[in-house]
This record gives sequence, C-alpha cells and structure tokens, in this order.
Amino acid sequence: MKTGEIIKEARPPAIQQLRECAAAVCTYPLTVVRNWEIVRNFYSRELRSRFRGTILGFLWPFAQPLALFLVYYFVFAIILDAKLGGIGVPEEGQKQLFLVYLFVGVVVWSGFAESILRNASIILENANLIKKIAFPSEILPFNTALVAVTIQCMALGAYLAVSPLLGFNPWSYYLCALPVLLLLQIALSLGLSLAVAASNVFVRDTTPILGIVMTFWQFATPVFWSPENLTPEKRSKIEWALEANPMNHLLLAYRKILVFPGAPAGSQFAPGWPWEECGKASLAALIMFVLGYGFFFIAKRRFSDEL
Amino acid sequence: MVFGDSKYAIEAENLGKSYKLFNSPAHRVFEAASLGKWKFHREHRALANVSFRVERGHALGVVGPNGAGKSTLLKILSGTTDPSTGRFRLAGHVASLLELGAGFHPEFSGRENIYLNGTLLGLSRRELDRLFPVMLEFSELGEFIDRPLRTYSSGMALRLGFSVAVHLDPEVLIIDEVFAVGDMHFAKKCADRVYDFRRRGKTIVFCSHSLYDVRQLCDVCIWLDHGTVRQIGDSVTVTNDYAAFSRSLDANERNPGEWYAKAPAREELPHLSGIRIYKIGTEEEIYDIAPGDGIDVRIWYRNPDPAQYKIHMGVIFQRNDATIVTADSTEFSKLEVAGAQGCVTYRCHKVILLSGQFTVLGVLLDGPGMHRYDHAMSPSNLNVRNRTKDVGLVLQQHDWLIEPGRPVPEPAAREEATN
Repeated sequence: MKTGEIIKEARPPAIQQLRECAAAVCTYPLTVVRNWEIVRNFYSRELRSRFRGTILGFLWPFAQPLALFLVYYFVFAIILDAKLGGIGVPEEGQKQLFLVYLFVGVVVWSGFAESILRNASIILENANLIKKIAFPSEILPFNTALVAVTIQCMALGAYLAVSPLLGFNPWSYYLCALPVLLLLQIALSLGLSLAVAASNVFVRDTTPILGIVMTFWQFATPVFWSPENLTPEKRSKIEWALEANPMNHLLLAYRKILVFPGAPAGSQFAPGWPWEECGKASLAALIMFVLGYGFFFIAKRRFSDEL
Repeated sequence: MVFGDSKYAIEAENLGKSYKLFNSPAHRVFEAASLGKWKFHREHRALANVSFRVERGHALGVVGPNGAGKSTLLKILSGTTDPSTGRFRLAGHVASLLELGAGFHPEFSGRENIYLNGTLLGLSRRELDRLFPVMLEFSELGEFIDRPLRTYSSGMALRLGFSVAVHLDPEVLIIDEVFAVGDMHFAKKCADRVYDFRRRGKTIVFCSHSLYDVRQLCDVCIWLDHGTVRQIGDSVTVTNDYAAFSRSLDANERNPGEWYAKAPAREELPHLSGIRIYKIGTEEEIYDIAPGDGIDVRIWYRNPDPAQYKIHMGVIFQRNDATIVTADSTEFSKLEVAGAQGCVTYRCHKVILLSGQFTVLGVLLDGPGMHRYDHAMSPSNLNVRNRTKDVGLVLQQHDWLIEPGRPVPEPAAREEATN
C-alpha cells in the first residue's frame, strides 16, 4: 500500500472489525495528537464562544460554581447544620473544613458532569461536519472534556489564590499531583462520554436517561456528604458502593491534596500522595474507556447515515 | 479486473449502499435486542453495483436525475459514509467539497473561520499561514476578513468558503455541484482553479446538473439512474444520451399531442393517412440521427373533393418540452397540394438540431392556412444525438474569424440618451 492510498471495503469480516476496533482503542491518544490542530481550534473556539457576548464574560466560569456552592452551602451547612466530623478536627474548625470540602466536591463534580452531559449531544450538534467531511468525530468528546477541565481549573485556581486570605493554606507540594488528577478526570469522563454520544445518535432518549443517571450518581458520590460522618454500621453497608464508584476515589484524591493539608494523620483525608485512589480510579477509567470507545467506534460507521 | 492497478487513481468495485429505515426508534432497539432475529426495518437501496475506474489525471463526471444516488456515491468516495457492498481504492489524499465552509461559526471573524475550516479540511497550521494571504486575496474580502462572519452577506460567506476549498491540493478532488453558485466573476475564478487542478494531472470526480460543465471538464462520465449505472463511457456520449433521455422524461409530463386536440378525422373531409421519416433519398426509415444527417419526412394525404377543399401541408418539429423548434408549410412557400390523394415530402438536407428528442407532426391545413383539417404524429420520436461538444438546440451555421494581426477598430461607445 502506497502512502496516502485509501482502500475501503464494505462489511469487513467480524474478526477484522474487532481488530480495527482494538487498534483504535489502543491508539486513541495518537488520534488526538494527530488531530491536535483540530482539537486546538475547537478548544479555543468553544472557550471563547461559551461566554462571548455576555457581560460577565470570563467571570462566568467562576460565578457558576460559586452560585452552586452557595446553594449547597445554604442547604447543607446552614439548614442541615452539616459538619465534617470523625477526622479529629477540633469542633470550631469543622464547619470551615466542611465548606472547603463541599467547594472542592462541587467544582470537581460539576466539571465532570458537565463534560458528560454536554457530550451527550456532541455528535448530533456536529452532524453537519460528520455528514459532509471525513471528520474524526472521536476527538469531539475529548475536546469537551478538555474545556470542562479548563473551566474547573479556573475555579480551583481561584480557590488556591483566595484561600490563604480566608485563613488556611492548601498550598503544599502534594499539589504536584493535580495535573495527574485532571488527566484522570478527563480519562474517566471520556469513556462514558463516547458511549452516550454514540448512543444518542440512534436513541434520542439517551439525554433524559443520562440526566437521571447523573443525578443519582451525584448523590451516591460523597459530593456534599462525607462517609466519615456516618455511623460505622451504616458505613459498612454502603462501603461496596463507595469502593465501586470511581468518582468517590477521584474526589477523595482531589480532597487529599486540596482540602486537608495539615489534617491529622490517620484520617481518611490525611494529606498525602493520592496514588492509591488514582490507581482505583484509573482502573475504572480504563474499563469504561475500552467499553465506551469500542461501542463508539463500531457505531461510528453509521453516524452519517443516521444523522 | 485487477484491483490495485496503480495506473488508476480511483477504482470502485460493486459499490452499493443501502439504508435501514425504522418506523420508530423503539423498533431499532427491539431489533438490536433480538440480535437481528426480528426484522423491523425496511431497506432502502440508494446505490447498487457501481463499478468504474478512473485513470490518474482524468476527470470523472457523475450525472443523473435527483435521487439517482450521485450524492451517495460522492459521500462514499469522500469517506463520510461507508459502502454497504463492494470496495474502492483511491490513490492518495482526497479532498471533498461536498459542503463549503464546514465548521463556520458566525461569531468569529473570517480569519478565524478560514483557519478552522482549513484545519478541518486537512491543512496544517504552517500551510494555512502560507496560504492565508493567497486565500484572502482570492476571497476579495479585504478588511472584512477581521469582522465576524455574521456581518457578511451570504455571497461573502460563500466566497470565504470557496477561497479555502480551492486552495486544497489533494490527489483526488471530489466536487458536488457547489461551483454552480456565486456571482459570475467569482464562479469563473473558481472554475479556473478547478481546470488548473486538472491540468496539473490531479484526478477529479465532478457531479453536476450542468451537462456543459461535465462535458468540458470530464473525460469519462457515469450516468446514474435509480442507484445503478445506466451508462458509462466518454463524457460527450454519455451527457448527450442523458440529455436526450431527460428531455423525453419532460415529454411524458407534457404530451405534445394533447396540444393539438384531435378531432376524429372524417372521411368526407381532407385527412392524413400517414407520416414517416426516411433517410434522405432512400426507402430506409430512420428515427435516430445525428446533426448534419439528411432526412425526408413523408406525409400521405387524402382529399375527397379537391375542387371544394384547397389544402396545404405543414410540418412541425417540436421538442418534447413543447417548444416548437421549426415549422413550415406549403402555404408559406405558395405551393399547391393537388389531387385526391398523394404524398408530400419535406426534404431536409442537413438537420441542424442538436441532442434531444423531437416530435414530428404533419398538419393538414386549409387554403388560407387558418384551419387544421387533421394532423398526424410520426410513429416514433426523432432522436438526435450529437457527437460534438456543441450545446443548445440547434447547430447554427457559422464561421469564426480570429484576426489578431488586423486591427479592426473597436466599436465606438454608444452614446447615452441625453435629455
């Protein structure tokens, strides 16, 4: 086969399809790199168009999680009087720590959820491109995840900048692990994003179903509650669910490096390198990615016929 | 047929495409859940058994009525959809202009949109940096390039899309109709680019309703009809046959016979008993001719009472869309048609009609040529097929005088009417 030559055959045998699918899954990072120019263009377009024409402009990435945070704070900390107990923090610090705990949880979860919810319709929205030009549609979900993580980083950056003024210091060398966590988060959202984006092409019910699933998931994940606050019996009952929930591990990792530098050793949130959590989350990310992208790759052949 | 011959830039074997149509999205889920055991879909074949080869540096035209599968074929070749059957090979990078301005965003400037569109079409950033000034000049947008796309007129947005598209440099270029739009000046510039591309030995697949363009640009041509290849061959033959065919389609909608409401011929009145077309000066009936051939149209008449009824004979050549191309009668020429019965021959030494199907009518008129006693239609249409590139209805007699050496004074400007 000469360079640049294109040969395409209808309905290759199943074994060949499977082989192609496996090859595509393994070389996904390469696909992204090869199409980096497109990703870069989409990325900057998406970021700039998101808030173009608004008065607050680039304040919106901060305003949105802040507003969410205030709502949760009002409900959980003020009305329900939630504190972060069980980790040996003195009484007076518990309320403040819960505030930070909640903030990190809300920011990371909304970044994660946004990238998945947006991706649900990403193929439908770009129908024109997919139908009219030979377009690597698999990079679109990656782009969305990248945008969501960028916006999340702005909020986290604001947190890091402001928190010393509020009287505690999250700056530590453990922050070096942050890029790893961000990458992991992208990987984690990618598998699911690819799956829902592809399934939405064929079954449009995916979007409302996904909305319900994400809400369940949000409450099943310790975003605004802490397993440390539960009684041991209750905790042991839900332990398996926490263990199986990759977002639980990811949030724990984020909180380890962002919330509790200086929290007493021995608690779940004691500062440290979050490698164990990362390991568990990566395993889940890998499984979800293989399944999600595998499905996407098989479905992709039919996109332009169905759109 | 050997697949993978490097002499050819495009080889297609048995290409076909069928779509599954589901009445409701739930049916798709049922079918998938039953692993295909229950069938809920109807199959729509958009394309079947299309095979062809295009040599390097040649251009392939694709013609056919709407819904014949032209776009499907082009989509398959450009890689936006997969064939359901068969296979194809393209020798090198392919660019398809199925849509202009892919990914254009109204909020961004022309410059930003050029970069995004160019990237999507496979240009690298470095190539774009190099080509940008050329594209800008080509688009003639000037300082508008830095204004948001939403402030552009539709013509300007189109020019922006074109300027990216025509600067691509693939091995195989796939064009779908798009060049038919835009103002004359700009359309010319685009056409020039495409011809230039062709001259540089690249391969083109061109789909258009403009048979003229197909004939001019392409070496070979496929005529698709209901998803299958109706004819494939050199572009002049195929486009001429297709032109003749589509005119006959028009004819089915407007039956020319109806145009002359036929009263039953009465035996006691003058009437026609037949009309036939012969090769000039022979007894050989002929209905398929080429421009320049000679024909005799013979019309037989009966006149029960020549003393009472003065008659004239008329002949009408009518194209199938009910356009009368030419008509003449013996009355025009001050001739007389005498006798109780006989035959009138309309002898045409050189037919000047170009491709198309023509109905030939004989008309029996009264003395002053006012009233029609009767008419008759030739038993079969006259099919004209040209083997040249001439376009239009008739081949006008003409000479070209090209006089570069002799200074013919340019015409004086016409004076504007002054009040």
